[in-house]
Amino acid sequence: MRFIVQRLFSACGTLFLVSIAAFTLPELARGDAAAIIAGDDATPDVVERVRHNLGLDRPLFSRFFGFIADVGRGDLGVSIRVKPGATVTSMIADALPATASMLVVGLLFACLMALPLGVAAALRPGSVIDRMVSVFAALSQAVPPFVLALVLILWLSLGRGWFPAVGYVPLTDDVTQWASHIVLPALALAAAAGAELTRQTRGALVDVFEQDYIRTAIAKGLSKPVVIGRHALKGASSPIITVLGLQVARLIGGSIVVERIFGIAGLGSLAFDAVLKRDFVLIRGVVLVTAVLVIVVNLIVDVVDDRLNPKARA
Amino acid sequence: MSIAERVDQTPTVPPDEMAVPRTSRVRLFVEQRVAFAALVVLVALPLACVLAGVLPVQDPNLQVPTVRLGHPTTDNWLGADNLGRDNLARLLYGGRVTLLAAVQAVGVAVILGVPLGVLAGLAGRWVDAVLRTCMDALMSIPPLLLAFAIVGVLGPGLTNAMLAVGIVMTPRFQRVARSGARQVARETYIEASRAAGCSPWRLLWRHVLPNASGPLLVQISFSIGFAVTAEASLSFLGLGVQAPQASWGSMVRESFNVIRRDSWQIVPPSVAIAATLLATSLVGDGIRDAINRSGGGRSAGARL
Amino acid sequence: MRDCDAAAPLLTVSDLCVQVERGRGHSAMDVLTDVSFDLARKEMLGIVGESGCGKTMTSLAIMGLLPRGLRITSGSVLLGQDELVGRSSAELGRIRGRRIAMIFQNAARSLNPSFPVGYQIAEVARRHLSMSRRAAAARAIEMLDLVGIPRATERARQYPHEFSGGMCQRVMIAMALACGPDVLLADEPTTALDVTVQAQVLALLRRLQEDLGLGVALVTHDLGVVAEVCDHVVVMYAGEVVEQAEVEALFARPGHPYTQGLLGAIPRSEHRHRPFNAIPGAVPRLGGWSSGCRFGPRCIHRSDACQRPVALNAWGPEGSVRCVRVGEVGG
Repeated sequence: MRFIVQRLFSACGTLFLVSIAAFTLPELARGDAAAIIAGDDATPDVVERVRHNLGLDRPLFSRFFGFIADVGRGDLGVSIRVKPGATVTSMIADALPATASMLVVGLLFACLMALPLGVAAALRPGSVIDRMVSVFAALSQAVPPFVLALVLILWLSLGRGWFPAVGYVPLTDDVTQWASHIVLPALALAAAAGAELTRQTRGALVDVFEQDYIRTAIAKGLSKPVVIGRHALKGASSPIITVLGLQVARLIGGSIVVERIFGIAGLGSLAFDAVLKRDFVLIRGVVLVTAVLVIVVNLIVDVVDDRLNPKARA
Repeated sequence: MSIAERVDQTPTVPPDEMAVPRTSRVRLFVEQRVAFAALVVLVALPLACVLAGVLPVQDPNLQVPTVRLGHPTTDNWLGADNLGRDNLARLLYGGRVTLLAAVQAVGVAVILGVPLGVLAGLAGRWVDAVLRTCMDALMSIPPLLLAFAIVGVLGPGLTNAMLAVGIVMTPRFQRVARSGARQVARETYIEASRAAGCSPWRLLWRHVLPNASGPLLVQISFSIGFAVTAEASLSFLGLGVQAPQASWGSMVRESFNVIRRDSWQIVPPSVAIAATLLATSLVGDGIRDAINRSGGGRSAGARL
Repeated sequence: MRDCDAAAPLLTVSDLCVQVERGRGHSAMDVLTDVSFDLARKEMLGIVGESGCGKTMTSLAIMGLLPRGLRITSGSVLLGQDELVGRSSAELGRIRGRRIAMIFQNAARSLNPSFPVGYQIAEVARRHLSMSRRAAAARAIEMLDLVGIPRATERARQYPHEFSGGMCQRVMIAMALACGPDVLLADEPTTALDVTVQAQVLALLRRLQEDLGLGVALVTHDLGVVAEVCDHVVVMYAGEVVEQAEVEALFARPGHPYTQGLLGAIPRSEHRHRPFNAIPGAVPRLGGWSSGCRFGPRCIHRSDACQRPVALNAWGPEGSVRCVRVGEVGG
């Protein structure tokens, strides 16, 4: 319990810094924000009015705490360029399911790839299987997500016609359609993460297999699947889920390009549009939300890790 | 554990395999060769790009309408793009841009990250804690997204993009430099040197940097790979390189636009990017393995 | 001497040979050569020798737990009537923990740090005795009680890092005996423990052996332990058995020069002012064994006859010695 509180505290600290960063970001923009928002042909009066309306004439600190207060209430501002008038919160909420689907399915793929390969490689270190797994992992990591996305589209979509090349169908609408639309993007996104996970799984398991308690488990007569699945994987779980947590940030980042390629209207696309149109309020909102997502995921990972592997705390 | 701490503990080094007498020597040898081959590629490729002007390579901007979307021929070894420009030439000249940009980004990350890391390693607990939280915050924002956001704020363009990528990569370097500095700080010879009147700068130069240089090299290698991908991603989305400049990323972008008409076009730049990524990965692995050459001393577990 | 059951031995090891593979172009190296001994019901057998003599390898070989690269090349291990050598790991899996069990030197590391100890004990019971979770959990508490862990119900829910070294070893014993095996192999169970705790654990082993009718093979380098709790002794050197005897006979009249050396090397208060009687030389490394008597190079009684491989000869009331000059020397 103490541990969780400690972690929460630390996460809050990080979150605070992130919000500072998110807040400061638009401030770094060249040019006068109010002028940009007001438009090229606005008169100085109009610009001043816009500035006042947006509260941009208040001192920095006051604006920052206003920002924090707003965020606390769930108000991330109003989009100024991408969809003028729409609240950032609603835009993000609309975009989230698509990206979340990709992330979850992608992580699933990554695990499905990493666990069997990692176990197979770790059982026979130095063998042909081990080397093949290493090579496969290296190659998978070397192909950037967007290249893989293009290849997959060419091969499985335009080529074989197994999967659609574009679009997203919400899970709630039609499960099969959702699935067929999500497979290629998730695959493209997660291959590199899966490769990294494979390496870490293999490494962690090789370490664990050498531990005395594995020998004890065998000496107790436990069957091979039980020794691997129950004892070894639990021992290796710490580094494995750690890497999983770290990969989430990477996956979200990758989704920007993948969503563009597959024409999916998710967080990544939103971020892209925001950057393209220099919609600072939206950029700030997306950065904040994704950071919160990453922090929360890592917090969960920490808690799960602690539950799975209670460690002696000196 | 904060994200930064977790990154510290996730070794980019998978633990050594058990020393099986039969294959270990063979493996080491093969792996050395592979890393060496990767290094050769990693040196040859930029060299080819830099020397593109001297080599018998066509003009990358020359449009030859007759070979639009051409496949590899004796004239155009890698085919020609939708405007009839030779792909090989564009690849080499574009490579200059991409690789230089990657080096710039890594440079930014090193300049920002290493001093902060050394500071965190040598200074007191509070400074270390504050810096760690800062790095945590940076690492909480997905890398590409952060790069995007920074570019969004500063405006599109390759320089801004690479500055952004450099900032994004800074935390990793900070962590590596920090752990190197901490290791050294713990050694008693530091106390002795300080007692003998050794100035902090000298300490840094003679002790901290050499100790951290190995892991730093490994990180640099991996980061070059990341920066190349990042440049490609940003340019692919039009936020990096601006026309008429070309880079591998913009080449992928253009090939994506004609993907339904001709699928060959994405091959040259994609392979170049992937090859660079693979090479930096293998070289990084190789350096890391060379550092950790000790290995052994493990009790072999029972056969499953 | 205890009343060991003279009926069929629980464990019969015959001419066990283990080799380590060394890859193409190199012949395999001997690790164990023609190791043979019996273990009877209610007997505590001590397997004694210095580091590197193969005593641990013997116990691992019996259990089929040899590390990668080592194989049993010939010989037999009979558990009751059943041959263990050559069995598949699936078959061995049904036997280990059920009919023969093993405990190891570093108990704290031999327990999985991620599971409570009660769970780890119950696991064996569920695996071999098809007990329900509740029954197995009860069994675990029962076993913890049996090995003398106070407040067993509470302790069963705790993790290994919450136990001391001696307690961990008790837990290991509880785990090993949960399914009522006939044979227990104990590989240096007390070496890593304090002397007082050592005595407690040994006493525990002895008591359990009496109560449960176990046959225990105790691997140790400490002759004091052997003297205290063992009935029979097997002395090993360089992968071979060099002497076997009942414990009193061994201490009274050791036949092999190596055994004599070991016993002579025990510091005694009467010999306070004399130099230590160390055995000259050092234990030869794997692969550096002579083709004749392996102790030859260090033996003060070495003769020409010792250049050839030496067989075990009977010696004393029930023992045997691997020495051509036994009877002529020392004693």
